[in-house]
Amino acid sequence: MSTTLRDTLIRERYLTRFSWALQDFPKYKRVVRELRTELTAASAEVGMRQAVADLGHPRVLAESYLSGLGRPVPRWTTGAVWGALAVGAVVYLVVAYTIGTLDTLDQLGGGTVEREFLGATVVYTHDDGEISTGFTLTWQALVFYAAVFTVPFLLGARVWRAWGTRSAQGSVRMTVA
Amino acid sequence: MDEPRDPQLLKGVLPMLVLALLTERESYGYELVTRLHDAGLDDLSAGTVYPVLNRLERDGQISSRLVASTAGPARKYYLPTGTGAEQLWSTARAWRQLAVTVDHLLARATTKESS
Repeated sequence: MSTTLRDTLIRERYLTRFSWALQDFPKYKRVVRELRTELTAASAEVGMRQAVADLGHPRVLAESYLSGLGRPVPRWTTGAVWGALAVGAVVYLVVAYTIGTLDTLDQLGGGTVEREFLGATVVYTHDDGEISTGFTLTWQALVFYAAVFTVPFLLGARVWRAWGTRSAQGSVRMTVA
Repeated sequence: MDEPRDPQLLKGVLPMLVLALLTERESYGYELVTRLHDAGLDDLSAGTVYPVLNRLERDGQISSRLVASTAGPARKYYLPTGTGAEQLWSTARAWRQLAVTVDHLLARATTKESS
């Protein structure tokens, strides 16, 4: 029995959400692959919608897998997304500021203006023959830009979980003998 | 009428029940869910069973093999390993001891309530 396009879309939508929630589970791709097989097998008996519904919310299902580890795990992908968003926000602000400054220079009849940020000099020029932005870098500015990515990355990844112990692992297992 | 079951009550014994059913005969994930339903756990969702299978396999208590199916993709059949069999018996023994204690305590409480 082949899977219809509609069933494939339902299954893959669920698995994408599940995969995102399970991102830092060891060998999570194998888990997702196995779940895909199980869903396809179950859909042959109860239909894809029911098979997916039986699994519950993808985040709750992922939590069930993660709780089986007995310890919290860092979420590196989430950290990378937070870092990229922060860098994107700063790039947007820098570009907006640059365009605004060059427009202002143009409205004032052209010229050059220098601005300093953490020791780094940025030169904006807008006149009849040139529209440009030049800058010098300092280590302070480099540290700032590195921190723009690193701090949200570490917070988003819950990096402190990497130092968590596995001591709690045994307590959730069914070893009551 | 059956009392609604607290999911937390089942959570702790589910690995034992999964091992017990797989000891009877090997099964793939969804089949195992239906067997649990047939055994009376009809409110159990597939999403509760798959993480348990994953954990038992990771802990070496069950092993798996792929079997071709005429009704879809190859299915992963699970079977207890030697470690899993030992775990099942030790857990079953602990469960029986616990059940005796719980029954005893509940009997005392219900006797007191009715008197």
